[in-house]
Amino acid sequence: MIYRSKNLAEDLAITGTEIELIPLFDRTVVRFVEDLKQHPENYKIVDIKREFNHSPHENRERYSLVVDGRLVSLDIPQRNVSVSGISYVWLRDSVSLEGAKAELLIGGIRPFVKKQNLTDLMEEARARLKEEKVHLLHLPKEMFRFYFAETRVEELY
Amino acid sequence: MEEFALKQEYENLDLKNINTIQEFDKLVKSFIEDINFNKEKYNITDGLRLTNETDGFWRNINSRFHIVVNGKIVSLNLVKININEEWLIAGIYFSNNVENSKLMLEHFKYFIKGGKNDI
Repeated sequence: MIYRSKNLAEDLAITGTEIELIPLFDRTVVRFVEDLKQHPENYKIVDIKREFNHSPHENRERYSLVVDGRLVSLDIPQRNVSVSGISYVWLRDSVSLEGAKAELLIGGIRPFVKKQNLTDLMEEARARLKEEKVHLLHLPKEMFRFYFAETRVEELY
Repeated sequence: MEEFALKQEYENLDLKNINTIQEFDKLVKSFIEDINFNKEKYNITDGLRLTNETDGFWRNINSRFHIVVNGKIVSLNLVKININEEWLIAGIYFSNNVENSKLMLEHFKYFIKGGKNDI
């Protein structure tokens, strides 16, 4: 079962293309994972284990969770959204859940997302992108416009 | 990590004796089968082989599973060695949740004694 940016658009009641929504998605997922760790009981999680990546170059987070006595694998890959061949900007673009009780967790993501404040999330997404500094110029144009259209250049750096 | 490796448990064991390792390999496989078919006996509610981590060559050397024991994740690792072109299990390791890893190791020792006392 996969939760991706089109699901986020539904849950936050916003419009945008997939590429535009990725930074918002990235921040939402970071918040969600933090909530899983802080309040596992809200998701019927009784144990959680972060899995090692297969290689240091792998840009993903993987967790094994016990939900209602069953194992659920949570996989959060990151995608390089840079349009330059020489720089990388990695952002989370999907959440994948596998296991007999995966549906329960998907059922937990959606109410969590609906509770998020869109203005705060947009601010967090902008702040995350600004961390890329010079690589901001390597973002896809539509993504850049979505987050920085009304921002003056001097505020970016 | 709670481990049961042949050499550590039986200091005088001759690891060059292929019969001993073959016997151990069979016992571990029987134990895994027992876990699989009698989950309730071990308070196991789920199990999963972690296939992604054991692709290719490493699949021969190390097999890794997650099992849920008393609601907690226990990792089960099987370490294999190559004897005469055959990969045989020479060690079994339990890790993650300490309490339940110890419990599973005790189960394994009990199983071995019940299955074969003279290893």
